[in-house]
Amino acid sequence: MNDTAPETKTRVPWPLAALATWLLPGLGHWLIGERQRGAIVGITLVGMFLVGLIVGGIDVVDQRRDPLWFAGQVMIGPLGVGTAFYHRHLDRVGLPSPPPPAPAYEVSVGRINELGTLYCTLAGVLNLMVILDAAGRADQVGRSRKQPLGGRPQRT
Amino acid sequence: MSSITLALFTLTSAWTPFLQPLGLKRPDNALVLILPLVFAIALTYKTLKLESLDRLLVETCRLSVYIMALIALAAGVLYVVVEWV
Repeated sequence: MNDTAPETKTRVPWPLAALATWLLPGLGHWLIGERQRGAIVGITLVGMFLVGLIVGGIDVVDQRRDPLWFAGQVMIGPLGVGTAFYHRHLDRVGLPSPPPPAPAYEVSVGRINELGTLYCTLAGVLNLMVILDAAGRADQVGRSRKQPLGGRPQRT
Repeated sequence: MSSITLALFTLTSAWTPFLQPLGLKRPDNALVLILPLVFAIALTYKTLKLESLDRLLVETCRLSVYIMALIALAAGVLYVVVEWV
């Protein structure tokens, strides 16, 4: 089960690992060879975000009315950004005009809204931690390139 | 229309996931959702922290219990402050 075997690690520039993790949680770890670690954090964080949306509805990702919460949610990557764009699209669709259309979505309130927002925001904030970890690990692999990973430095 | 189809129709027409919030008759019960949230936080943290993932589940459960205990303690302290101070 140990996926941290040194010989499986691949050299990836740390900005690429960080960007990949932002695009899809866990992808950075996957690229540097820590696939099991990447799969676990990816499934967990995307799952957290989706559970947040299921609990509170799309209303919990609101760029205009909850900008501070959105700052955390955007860390989950295109999933958060796309949800915010779709929310804005639904807001435009649901604008009252004669004849008034039915609301495109239902606004969540109270504890349900709090929990949904918390789920989505924590998924994003935790992904920031994953991004930093992936960048750090990629940098570590890059620095130890001159010596065999996990072994003694090579004599030239 | 079979009963299963009718039940599915009723369920899907009553609640649209993502567009409607979870319909709970007693919203206070939603606090149960803190448990999977805490577990997910602990799982993510331990996945990054542990060198080997062999003891991931055990360590995650242990951290989840610690976090829940701290939340309960904080709730108790806040209750005392609000009610008695």
